[in-house]
Amino acid sequence: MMRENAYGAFANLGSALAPDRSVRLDGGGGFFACKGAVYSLILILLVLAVSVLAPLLMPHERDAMNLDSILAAPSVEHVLGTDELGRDVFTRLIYAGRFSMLVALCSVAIALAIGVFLGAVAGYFGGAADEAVAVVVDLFLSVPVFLILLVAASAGGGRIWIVPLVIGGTSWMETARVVRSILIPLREEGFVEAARAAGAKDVRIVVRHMLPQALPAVVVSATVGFAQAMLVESALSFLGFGVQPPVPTWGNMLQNAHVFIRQAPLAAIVPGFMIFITCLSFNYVGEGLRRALAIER
Amino acid sequence: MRKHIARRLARIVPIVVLISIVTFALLHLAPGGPAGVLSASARMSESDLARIRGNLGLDKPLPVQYLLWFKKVFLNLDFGNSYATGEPVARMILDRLPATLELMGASFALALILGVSMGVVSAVRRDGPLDQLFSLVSVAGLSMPVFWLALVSIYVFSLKLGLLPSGGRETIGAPPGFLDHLRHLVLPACVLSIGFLASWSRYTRAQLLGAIRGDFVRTARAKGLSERTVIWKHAFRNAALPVFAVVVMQIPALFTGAVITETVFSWPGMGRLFYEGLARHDYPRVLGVVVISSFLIIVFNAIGDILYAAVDPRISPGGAASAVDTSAEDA
Repeated sequence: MMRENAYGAFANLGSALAPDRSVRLDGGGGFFACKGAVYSLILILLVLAVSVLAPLLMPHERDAMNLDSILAAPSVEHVLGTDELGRDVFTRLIYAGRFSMLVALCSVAIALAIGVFLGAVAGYFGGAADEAVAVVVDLFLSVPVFLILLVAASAGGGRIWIVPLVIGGTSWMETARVVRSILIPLREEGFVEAARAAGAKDVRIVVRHMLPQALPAVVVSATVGFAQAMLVESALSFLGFGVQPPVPTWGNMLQNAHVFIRQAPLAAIVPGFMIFITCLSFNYVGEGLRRALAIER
Repeated sequence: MRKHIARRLARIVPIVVLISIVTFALLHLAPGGPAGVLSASARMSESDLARIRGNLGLDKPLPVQYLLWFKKVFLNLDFGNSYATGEPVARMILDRLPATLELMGASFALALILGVSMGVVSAVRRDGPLDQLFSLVSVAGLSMPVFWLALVSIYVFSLKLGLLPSGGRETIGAPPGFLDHLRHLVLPACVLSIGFLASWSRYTRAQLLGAIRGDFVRTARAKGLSERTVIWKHAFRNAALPVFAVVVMQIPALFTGAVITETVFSWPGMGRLFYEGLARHDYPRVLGVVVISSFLIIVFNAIGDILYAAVDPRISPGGAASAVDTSAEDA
């Protein structure tokens, strides 16, 4: 059982960083019994719908500048005022939701692909494969990922597809660990042996018979991962190494906010608030799902 | 146990070297590489550029450049000179280290004291109003972008209420004083501590709840000990060490948070040094900060891991399978 050791304390560190499994929402069992999770889901759907329908709803062009009304105060025409280039903050806020969520979604997809693959390899084959994956997981958990992420994003030269690539590429470890821990006990199960006896290949056994068992846990890890990815993207974009203007994200809308916070406080506060409530909602939905799907781990 | 420690320590150097190679490669992947910045920013002729490349050693093949850098670092801790200012990078980092350590130390103390207290109260008064409040605070803390919290706190406490300065480490021009210093420290330290406070309070809560369910606590209660003694002498002692190990491992993660916090608050520390270096394509500086902070992070990780193994025989070689994470759970 030596190979368990490599995960050792880091396994626990991961669970300390990830949102706690023991957060109480309300009493009760299923997802819909958690009021916090239900409200959160409604909020997410609302933000999603408004973002997707943005071109139909918004009276202003996303990037239309008007140098005659720079940093204007909120008015009927500009509900949240204008930014330092005279662009309508509300319009950009709504469009930013699209990009922030799209980048988070792609990051999570990439993280899941890597995490599920490596977790499945480690959990199914065990032995040397497990050891090798453990070393890689350990490596990624023990390096200053954010600094290297910043360097990588800056080397990417501001191309938008680089951002989910670097975020996804550095946030798959928790998924890998969860998938591995679910698959390991399954190896000894009768249905796996039966499939093997029936001549099923390794890939088929893993994909058809074992991974479905890990699906609930993967869904939860994706939900929580979405919030994490959104936070990382916003930090990268805020520092100027993530998604580049004129494409708006909630993070890069704040890039110059601290310079103009005196003149235009709303423009500095609202985009960050959107990140906050969206991430909060995803964390609560993740918790609701965890309880509904009865995921012990 | 000794083998475990040796294995952890032996891994430090190869990982740092690997990180330096990856960072070096990434920096040179950037469009144009280091010299690209020079050609874009200044009006220089081709021959000037070639001369500068030669001076900086950028005309050599990449592996050679890396090995030359590595040799200097390895032999005399020379991280090269900053492209932007010509100063030795090692000196720049040493100059900035006190400010960073001060900020990290203050945030750390704040997060530890508040986080552990909140965790203990939550576990003891499980599902009570305070537990629910603290749960909300910690989910909120983990869902909040650090830079946004920094902006909002500057807006509220500095611009609106005028209570605290909005940035810097001391008032420029004013005589240096302890109180002035402290006033500058309050906002960045609080902002930086939020994430850690959130995660440590939940971790403490989970560990303590796990301990309270343990057989030894039932025995202690059966002996008729007071609830206070049971919680503090028995349960908390068992929960404290894993919490401590996790906290130690996360000290260097404060550094990551410091990049953002120091940038927003114009705090003259290593995080801001890194950010400015990256923004100005000052590669020796970026590489130096990444390598030194990686080294610190990995050393602290190793210490945390070793402490953990010392506390919990289940993860030392020869022991039973790792059951560490189940003990932290609160189903």
